[in-house]
Amino acid sequence: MPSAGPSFLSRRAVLAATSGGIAAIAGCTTDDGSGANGNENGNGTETETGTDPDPTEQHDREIQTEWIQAVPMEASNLSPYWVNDYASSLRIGLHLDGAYTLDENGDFYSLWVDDYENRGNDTYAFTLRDSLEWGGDYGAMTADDWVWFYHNVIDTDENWVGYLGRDDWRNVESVDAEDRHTFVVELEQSDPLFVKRPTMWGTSILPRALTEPYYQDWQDGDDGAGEALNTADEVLEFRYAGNLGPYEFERRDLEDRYVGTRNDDYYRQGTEPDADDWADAPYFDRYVIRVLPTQSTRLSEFRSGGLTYTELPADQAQSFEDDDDITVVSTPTPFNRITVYNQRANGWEPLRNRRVRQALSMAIDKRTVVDHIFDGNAETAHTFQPTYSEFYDDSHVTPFGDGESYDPEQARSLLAEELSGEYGYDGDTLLGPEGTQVQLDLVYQTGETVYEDTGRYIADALDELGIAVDQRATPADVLFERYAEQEDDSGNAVFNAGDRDEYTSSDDWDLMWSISLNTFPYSPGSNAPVFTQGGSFNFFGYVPEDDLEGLFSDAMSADDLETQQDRFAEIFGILSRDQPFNFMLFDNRVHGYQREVVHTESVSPSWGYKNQTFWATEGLHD
Amino acid sequence: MSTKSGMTRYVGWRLLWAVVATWFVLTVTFGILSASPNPETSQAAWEAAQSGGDPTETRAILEQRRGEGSSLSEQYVDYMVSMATFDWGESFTYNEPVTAVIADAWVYSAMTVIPATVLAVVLGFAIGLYSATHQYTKTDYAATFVAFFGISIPNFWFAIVLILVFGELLGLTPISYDSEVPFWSLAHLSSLILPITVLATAAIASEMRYARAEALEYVGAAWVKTARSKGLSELQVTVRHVFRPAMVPLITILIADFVGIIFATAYVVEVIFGIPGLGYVSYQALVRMDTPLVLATTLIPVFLTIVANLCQDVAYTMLDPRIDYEGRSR
Repeated sequence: MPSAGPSFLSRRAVLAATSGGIAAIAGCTTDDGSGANGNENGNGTETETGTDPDPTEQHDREIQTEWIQAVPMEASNLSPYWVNDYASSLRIGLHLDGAYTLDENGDFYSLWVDDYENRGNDTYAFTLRDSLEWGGDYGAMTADDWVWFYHNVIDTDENWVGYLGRDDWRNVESVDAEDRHTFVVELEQSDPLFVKRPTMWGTSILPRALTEPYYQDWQDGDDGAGEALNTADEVLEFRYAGNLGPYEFERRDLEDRYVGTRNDDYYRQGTEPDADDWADAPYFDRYVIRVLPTQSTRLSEFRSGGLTYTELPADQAQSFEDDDDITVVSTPTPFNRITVYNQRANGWEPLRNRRVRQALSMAIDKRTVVDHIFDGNAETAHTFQPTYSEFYDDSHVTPFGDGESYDPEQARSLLAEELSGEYGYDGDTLLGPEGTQVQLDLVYQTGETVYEDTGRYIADALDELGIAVDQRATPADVLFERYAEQEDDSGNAVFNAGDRDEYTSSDDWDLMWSISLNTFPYSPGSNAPVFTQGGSFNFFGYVPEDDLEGLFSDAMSADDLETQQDRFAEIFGILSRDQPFNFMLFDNRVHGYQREVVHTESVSPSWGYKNQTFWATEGLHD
Repeated sequence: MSTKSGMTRYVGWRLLWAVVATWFVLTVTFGILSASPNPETSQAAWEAAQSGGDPTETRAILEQRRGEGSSLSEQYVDYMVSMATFDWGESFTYNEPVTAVIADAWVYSAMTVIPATVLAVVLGFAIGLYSATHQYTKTDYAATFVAFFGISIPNFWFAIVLILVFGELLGLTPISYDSEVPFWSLAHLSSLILPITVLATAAIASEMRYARAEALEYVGAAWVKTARSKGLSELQVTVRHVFRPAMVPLITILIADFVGIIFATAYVVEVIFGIPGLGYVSYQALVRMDTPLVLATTLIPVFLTIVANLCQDVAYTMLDPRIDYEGRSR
């Protein structure tokens, strides 16, 4: 299946992809808003395919022996302050739930934070549960731990801990304790969507008493104090985690397996919301994460019943859907897999003309890609926002390359019309200024069959327009380094060094397919760096004709949701018209479970936000 | 100059050469690592930029974590000193001493590589000798077919097919390696059958072809005919008078085969069967650009190969008294 992105994902990206947050990652993931919760017996569970346990049969939620899942990669590190990849988040999520998560409707769902209060969009008060206990001798988790975290980890001149999430706290002015369990976050600029941003959402911290001695060492001039903290056995073995997560650390066998044992004192047991679902959570004595790098081995092991859960490749999901012993759940994601048009000086010059970009988008049938390459496990996309987003407004969106808007003939006419006199058709071939056929360079990343298949499909589609396409596949990091990064005046590699006529990537390219970007459906203002002329991620040289910077600013500072929706709908309408890239599709994430697993939530992009309440009707691997 | 002092000098020069060659390989490895983009850093910088953060700062943080904050020359000197003093530092990926990572991993590799090598040597040589002494018979053709099959079939494909057939379809063997199964148990042995089969198949084929080719040189030799005329059994003739002289060149390929199995073939098998062995760990170190672990896992096979080659050269003199190294000190 197309992964939600390349192998390495930042904590922020993982969170945004999973409203379940870090806690929800342990098992499965994703986000958005639909339906109701499952009932006590899990009978309200909606699954797209597969066979659920017999709904007429009543089962008690007994605690079963093991949950076993397989993943392709070992974790990079196990400190919550250093985590920046999915593999590590998955392990950490077994021991630390994080502050809170977002539910099926994209709303606050209580974990460590019992509740929050919006005090005028620029001040938020978060109240911790009073049952949270650190491990060792660190006592209760209180507001003081969070205040100390902000002042001594986030708000220091130097990032002594090496915490990559500091950027998420840019808009925070102060954090102060109001009482033992309540702390107040004040923002520099009001933000009605603050709770849905990956600032507090999903954030895990270490106890103040554990961190403070290292901080003191750093203050005393020990530059290695941050590293010492993040690599301390106490941190890597989660001895501090107490009752803050569903499992206790048992062991980690490198490149082999990671094992957690059920935390009998888990703070979330029997608490609201959904107290029944959480009654004896988690419902497995052991949680085993096996490292099986090869997809075929993972799938064989899963098919043979050796795994409780694994993620399935989109293009192979069908074979599992036909298996009565397996339940397949396909969930939407906010990840937009795109084809970027290079509008910088080392791209094909006509790509700066939006009508030319529209013509190219019009000639590529997204429906074919979704149905025949992704086997239906994706959704076509027309702008940089999924349709389930409350900021998506169909009436503003101009579709290209889907249904009636897929029109190669019109695309050809449009090209002929928009290209300068130096270009022209000779029969079916589009000739350039030198009298030779126009040839575009298409680059994409290696690693998935669907990338290659879609690359070939795009090449064929453009061939119909008389354009030859030279395809090149490279690993993701090489793709970024050669085709996206530019060197700024200080010699640093950045993704937008400035003027598109002056700054370009080291290698020439015209089209870049396969990269997947988060569209942040809960806080779409986060997309400004991609689409504003000076945005830090505008590596493709898009110069909007409209004042997108102003529109983003207006939208983000609007105090009411309605105004925000209007502004963002306008922005996403402009983007669909401008086609800075062909929006292609939104990946689905395909989860495979043994039939005995009972889910306690309905299918939504937030899938997995309550995965620690999933249970099994009988022992799976006894 | 006596034979003994000539040998000592020769061995001394070879050891010195081993150090130079190891240094050279490590330097090249360090250079390639330094010049390559780090996938984790690239991804983190990419995502920082998308969310409006500073990719340069993100890179700096991650480089600092990996000890890349100092200049390249300082890093180079640090790494070379650590390699030379066997203080190999900590793996960035696993936050554990490199020696501990290797110590954990080699056991898993040994469980498949040693039986596979023993099988390859015993069966490969035996079939090769049999083929040589029964040249152009049906059994020779059959053995040649098996050898070409073993050499030609890609290991990864063969492993996947074996998993599908014997693991998934027939349910006779486990699909992947399970480290939680007791070491001394049939279940553990069962989980090693497929990996060892894959490893041994290619190696047996290779050994068999070499053994056959070498043995053929001696099958018609005068001393073999003499042995037969003296009334020795066919087995005695084959083992004493054909295999023994053929063994000298065969030893030359053993070391390369062994190291090759551990660090090349075993990697493929370990990845597919989920065995956390040395081949897989060294590959992951390369992918994640975990410099201390990469250098250590480079140092081991390089040094092992060079020293083992030296040992085999010395062993020649014992196996074949006609060989000596007098006058070949360089």
